[in-house]
Amino acid sequence: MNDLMSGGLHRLWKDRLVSQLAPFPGMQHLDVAGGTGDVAFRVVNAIQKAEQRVPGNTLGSVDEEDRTKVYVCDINPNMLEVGKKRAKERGLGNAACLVWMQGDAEALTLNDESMDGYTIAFGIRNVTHIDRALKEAYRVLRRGGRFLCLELSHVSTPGFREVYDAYSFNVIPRIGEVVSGDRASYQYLVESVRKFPNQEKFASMIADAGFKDVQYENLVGGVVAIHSGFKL
Amino acid sequence: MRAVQITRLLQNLASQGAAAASYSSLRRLAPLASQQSSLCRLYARDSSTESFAWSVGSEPGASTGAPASDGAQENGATSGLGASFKNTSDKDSASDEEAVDEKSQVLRAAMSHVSRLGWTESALVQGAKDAGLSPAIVGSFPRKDAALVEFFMDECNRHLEDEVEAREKELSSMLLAERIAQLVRLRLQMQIPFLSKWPQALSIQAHPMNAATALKQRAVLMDDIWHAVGDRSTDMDWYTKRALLGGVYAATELYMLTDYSPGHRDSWAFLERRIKDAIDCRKTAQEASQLAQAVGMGLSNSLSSLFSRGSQM
Repeated sequence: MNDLMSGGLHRLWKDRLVSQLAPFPGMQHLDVAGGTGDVAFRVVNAIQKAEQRVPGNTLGSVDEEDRTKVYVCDINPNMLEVGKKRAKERGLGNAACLVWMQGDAEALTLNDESMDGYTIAFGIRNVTHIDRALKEAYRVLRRGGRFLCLELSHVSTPGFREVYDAYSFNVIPRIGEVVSGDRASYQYLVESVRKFPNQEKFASMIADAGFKDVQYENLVGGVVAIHSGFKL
Repeated sequence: MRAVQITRLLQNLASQGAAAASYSSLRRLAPLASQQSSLCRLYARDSSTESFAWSVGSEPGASTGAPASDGAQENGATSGLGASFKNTSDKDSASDEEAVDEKSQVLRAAMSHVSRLGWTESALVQGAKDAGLSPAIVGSFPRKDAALVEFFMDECNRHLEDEVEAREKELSSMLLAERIAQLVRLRLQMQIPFLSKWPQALSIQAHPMNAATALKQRAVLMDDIWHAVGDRSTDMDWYTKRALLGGVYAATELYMLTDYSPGHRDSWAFLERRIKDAIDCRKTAQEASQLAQAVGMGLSNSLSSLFSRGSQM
């Protein structure tokens, strides 16, 4: 369904998110609302590639590889099951570095200052209290840690906005009706995207939570935005 | 955009007659201004003493950045009248400064790993760990390897200016060629600890995305050296001198890469020969132009006497 709605672009968006993250061996990473594991698998692959690149002359490198942990947190256990199944398909079924945990973005069960990276892809829109989720993100990140959020956002280019609105309100609910028989959910989805704060407002919310060097990058003219902040 | 405004403002200040000794300090601000405009805060002009009180923000090298001759203060409060030039909001500038602080801490710590890991992301990751920060901060550098190389180049150039100030007396007693040789040698010696990985740094600098910044840093370096040597030319000479020195510097830098002589003495001999060539080159150019002028005058004289004799007939 994601593929149909975005024309397969959501894969590229998630690739971009992970390349911005620049994962490193030994990283402690948390992916929230990513039950199906899309972002988590990409992070694990990137870390494996990074391990191959580093010259293996330091004895510490083996320990580093073992220390890598990617936590996948989702409030919905069914999504986690789907994710675990997909992990098995990719050969990551028994990978020690993937940890699947059920949890609420507004009240994470992780320790303070324990994560190097925090990503949330297409999930923060569904969080009831966004500021609480941001504060939790700030709490679990250690100093220098990075917050990254990939989310559908607002288009402001004059001509493109009309095209995008027409597509969102007419085509997407129709696709939902045809493919999954659930027009109402996709109507709600499109409306919730409009309700979500725009890029600048969301960036200021991230800064209010305590993050520094807050920036955002628009993809496809603003259809999707990647917000980034550092805990310093 | 803001950085350009600051640089122009500073150039205006320089032309309005700030002390000549502060020229190099103002020059020093230009690379800083290009990094983060929030680093530079220009405060009010103190009309009573006709001097500019300004300070450079919380950059680690700030304490050496203030020119003594202008009586600049480190934490000067905004005083009285005139235009106070500040960044958009306190919160923005404060958080930007902190971010830049942490980043330069990471870069500085990463330098100690460069000779082992090269100018790479892994050196930055180790640097972040040494600085007590999560290595995720490495993601904030847009061009990671280049950031490390550019930081090192800036540090070396700044260090060179300090050396120039420290050795003013010694330099003033030397001949021009010796002065230039000494300064270029001082600067190149700073690269010796990383010589084994310097080819990698050069290739990073040659990359199209990084070439512009690298070129700018080198141009500023050549300008600094000529200014330290005492050049005050303002015509075409300004360009030719810097271009020639740039060629000499680059040639010596490359020569050093494969020089295994004790103390790199072959490189210094090479440097002196190239400087001599450059001076000869300029002399030859001058002589050639003088010869051309003499030939032209002689020709015009003989032609005019020919025609005058012809008209007489």
